[in-house]
Amino acid sequence: MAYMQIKAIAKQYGTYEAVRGIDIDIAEREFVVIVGPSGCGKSTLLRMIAGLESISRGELLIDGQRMNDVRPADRGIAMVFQSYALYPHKTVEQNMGFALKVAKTPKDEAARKIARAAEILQLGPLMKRLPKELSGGQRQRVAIGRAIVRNPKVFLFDEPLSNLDASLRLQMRIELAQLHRELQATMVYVTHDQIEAMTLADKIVVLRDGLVEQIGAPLEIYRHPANTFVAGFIGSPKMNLLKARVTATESGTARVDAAGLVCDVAVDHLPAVGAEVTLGIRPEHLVAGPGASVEVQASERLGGMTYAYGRLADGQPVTVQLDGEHDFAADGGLTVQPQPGRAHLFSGDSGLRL
Amino acid sequence: MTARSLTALAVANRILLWAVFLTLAVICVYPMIWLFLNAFKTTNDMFAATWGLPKVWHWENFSTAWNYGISRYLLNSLIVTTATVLIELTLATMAAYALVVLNFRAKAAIYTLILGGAILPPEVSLIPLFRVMAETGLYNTYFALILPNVAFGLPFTTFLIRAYMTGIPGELREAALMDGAGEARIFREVYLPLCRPILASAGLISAMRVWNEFIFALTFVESETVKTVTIGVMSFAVALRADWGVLMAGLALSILPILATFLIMQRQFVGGLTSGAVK
Repeated sequence: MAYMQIKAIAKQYGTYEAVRGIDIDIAEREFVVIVGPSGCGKSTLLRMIAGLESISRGELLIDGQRMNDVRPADRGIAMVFQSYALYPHKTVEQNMGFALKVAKTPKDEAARKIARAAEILQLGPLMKRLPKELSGGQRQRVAIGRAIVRNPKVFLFDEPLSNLDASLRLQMRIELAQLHRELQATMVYVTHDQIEAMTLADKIVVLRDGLVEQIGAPLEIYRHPANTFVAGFIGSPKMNLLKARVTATESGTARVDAAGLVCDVAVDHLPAVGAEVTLGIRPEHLVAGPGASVEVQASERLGGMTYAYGRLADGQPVTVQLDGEHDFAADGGLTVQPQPGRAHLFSGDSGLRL
Repeated sequence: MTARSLTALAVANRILLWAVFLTLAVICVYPMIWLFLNAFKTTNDMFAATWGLPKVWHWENFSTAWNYGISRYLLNSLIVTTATVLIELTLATMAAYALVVLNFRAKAAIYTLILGGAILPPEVSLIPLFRVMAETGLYNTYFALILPNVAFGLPFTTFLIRAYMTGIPGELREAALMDGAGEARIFREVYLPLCRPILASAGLISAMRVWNEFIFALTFVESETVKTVTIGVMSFAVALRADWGVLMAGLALSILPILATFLIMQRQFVGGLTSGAVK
């Protein structure tokens, strides 16, 4: 397995810069998930790593070797495409064996590698079938199998689960995590789905507009988002980002008030009293209790929990996640307060964490 | 409008449509029925009852026509058509692959130039081509028919195959690149097998065109050993004006191979035309 260094990589299309100088270090056996909204440059970055797009600036190193001008097949990389890109006229076995055939691998060795991959992915009974005779999940497995047989240094995944339905996506997510443990492989995975990022990654890279917003372990990013973009992107439902005013400060702590929602937030950079800031508080970190009143406009009862969507006194939208079942019409409204130590504070101007 | 009047309108539409199709079908099919019916008659029978069934089925008309020289013309047509189709498909598929997949300078201009060839009517180039054939020693050889037929068929065939190839996901090529395949291998092992349906229809369209080609066959060859069936049946008609039954049998034989091919492959033929039209 290999380590990878992405150094100030950029991709220019004419005057448009899709990727604007990205640095990422990927350790051996690490599962890195690159996440971001559509058009943030994540797929372009992955395609540059794969060698399917040229690198306009910067350097790509795999095991310390510069790969910028190396052919895709010679980079020691295998890629699983969003559309699976299985050869429609070849059987599962032929799809998985194509790279080995191209590399003129001896037949018995090729057969052994294909059999091993088929065993890992439980594809045994499907080997003689054509892709059109497979379900979405099975096709996905064949695409992964095709990557495994090449025994690559690095696996690349380009939104591999986005074509699957919700239950299959969950199952494949679990299988991918198992596969990573089994193969002990370096994997780079691109998705716009933050749940995939949170559940699969050793390290998440959050991208926006071709730039890195934050790199870190999933829970590190969840607990300490670097700015309002990351705060809003990671976590489901989205973090509440409320306009608030600083009412008091004390060593390392700022007291803020957002339409009656008052809380003390630990900060690294103390704002001035009276400054306008953004208070970030996740729906699951608001609890029912004396505090700010919320006019509930809609709610979703999921059995184990209830999401309430409403507005604070000054009209700011807010989402609250409560345990159990609640009927807000009958309960006669809702007042909430933040759990201590769970709120985040961001600069009102730059959106950076304070 | 009430539901009843809507239904009546739909029925009227349907009847009109069927009437148009039926008329078209009759216009296309009746000469062929007439031809095949009369191929089994003697000249007297034919003039006595043009549309009647033969009193006696004169199968020997076909063997007479065959022995009269139609077999040679058929063989020549087969050689010219097969060679043209093979060369044309090979070149057009490679050109289409390059136009769809590869990035090179002046790609659009080259494609426009290729398509421009479709605008040129063959008649315009007859005299220059005749001189080229004469000077290169190709006159009166199979190549005198094969080469111009390939040249004039390439634009449309390239257009058809290119249109089909644009529908093949680019990710298949990228996956093959990751698998270590070069362009030649991707062309051979990924694109060619996937293009089978369009190759069948483009081949059929081209074969029909070449089989029925007249102008080049009339201008660039004169020897009986190279003449194709379209020119062959013309001299046949002159020689056999007295024996209409044999003449009809000869004409029937001349269209049989291409008719049979068309009937077997008509699904591909239609598929090819629509894939070119829609994309």
